[in-house]
Amino acid sequence: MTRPKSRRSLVVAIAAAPLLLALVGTAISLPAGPASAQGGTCTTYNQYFDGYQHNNTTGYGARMNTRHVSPVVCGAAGTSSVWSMITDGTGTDFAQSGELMNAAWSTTTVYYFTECGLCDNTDGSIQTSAPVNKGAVGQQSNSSYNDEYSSWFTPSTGVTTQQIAPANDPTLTSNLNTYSVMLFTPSEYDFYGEVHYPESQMPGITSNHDVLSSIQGLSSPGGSWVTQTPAMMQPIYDTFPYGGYTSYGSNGSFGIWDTRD
Amino acid sequence: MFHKSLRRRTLTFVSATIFMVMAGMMIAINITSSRDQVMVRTTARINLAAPAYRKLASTSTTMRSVPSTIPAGGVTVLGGNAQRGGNPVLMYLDPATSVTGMISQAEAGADALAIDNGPGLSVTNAVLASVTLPSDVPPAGVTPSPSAVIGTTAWVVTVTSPAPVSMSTCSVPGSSSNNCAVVVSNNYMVLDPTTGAFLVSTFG
Repeated sequence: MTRPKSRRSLVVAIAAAPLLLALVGTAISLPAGPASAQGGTCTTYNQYFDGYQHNNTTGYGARMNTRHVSPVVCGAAGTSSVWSMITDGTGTDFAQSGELMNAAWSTTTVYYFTECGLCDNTDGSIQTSAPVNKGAVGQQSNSSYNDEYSSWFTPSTGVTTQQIAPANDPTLTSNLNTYSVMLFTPSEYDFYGEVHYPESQMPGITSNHDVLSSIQGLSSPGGSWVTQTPAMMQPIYDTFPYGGYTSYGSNGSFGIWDTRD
Repeated sequence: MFHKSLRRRTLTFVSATIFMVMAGMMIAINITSSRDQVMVRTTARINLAAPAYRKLASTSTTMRSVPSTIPAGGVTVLGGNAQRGGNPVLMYLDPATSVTGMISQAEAGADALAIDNGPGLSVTNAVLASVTLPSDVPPAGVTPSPSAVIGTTAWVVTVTSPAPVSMSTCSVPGSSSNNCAVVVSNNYMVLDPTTGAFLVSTFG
């Protein structure tokens, strides 16, 4: 986490950058950045995914490592996220953790987030269905560090832990945990990148895939984590027209990216 | 003979029916037991938090936004974003006293807008409080993470969007409906009182 003063300096520098560029002309060769064409108006809202999932009769834990690579989000509401989750497959009931950028709030901040669609807090109160932001970091296009995102059910407590083990922020020295009482029975685990408008960029670019690695699942409560093999995983619902993904690897990993770069 | 046969058949049928019903009940009990073992509940309101963290029971005032001053006795801040209806608890706030080296209210607001720097955003409130995020509270017997926001003195900065923001909770591929849409206007940012560093935030 950048300290406030240095963050303010950064903001000032970013704000001044266009003026400086105008002064020195366009002869400066800028480094290749993320796709620039997708940053405009958002059009038709929908949910677009690239990734893999494991359909099972039970799915009590999901874990992966990744880092968010250069998303560009559209308009005032576009999002780009990557996450792991356990779910009952209905589309509304899930517990997940991951990284999220939402243009309404920022086009430079990536939030670590957890989210539970149908959960209570441990004190019995209703838990929000909106994301809870557990940390704020910048884009991580050149990072060699992978954050770990996991969710798992613990039979002895009756509670699901959604955990982020941050690697991209040196000021975060402990895990970021959310505790949820699930009001559904999970039956699968998913690992996806997601956008809500076609103009937003799926995490990852052609030259720098967003690699999801060390993918593991728990098929029984209190069981052991199992690395997910290609035979266990399905690359389905790749409906996003600009998304790409690599074949699922035997070591439990795959890459996603936006094909417009 | 016909009657005897019919009676015998009837008795056989009744016996078989009773057997099947009992077998069905046993299967149902087994299924129920199996589900109980994994403790995935279909009803809410079981308090699994350690007694020291049960803020819900100790705060009597509820509000739909973070107030500009925290009333004595604390306040429960509610959201409107539970997909099943009702009002989720976003955070519990208790009065707090200033700490050494604390940044000002204005600085806290500026720090919040350095993180949330989207177009048109504004700071509409900033208040010092002792903050407890209910989703950070572990079940009894589990030690909270050092990063947990539980009774943490912090600036709570309300960053408000000029227009409602969709924070959809439909996150499963193949979901065609948007019936779990969540729309928010505020990001309640909890910042370290001396550094302004981001601790956690929740939408409402």
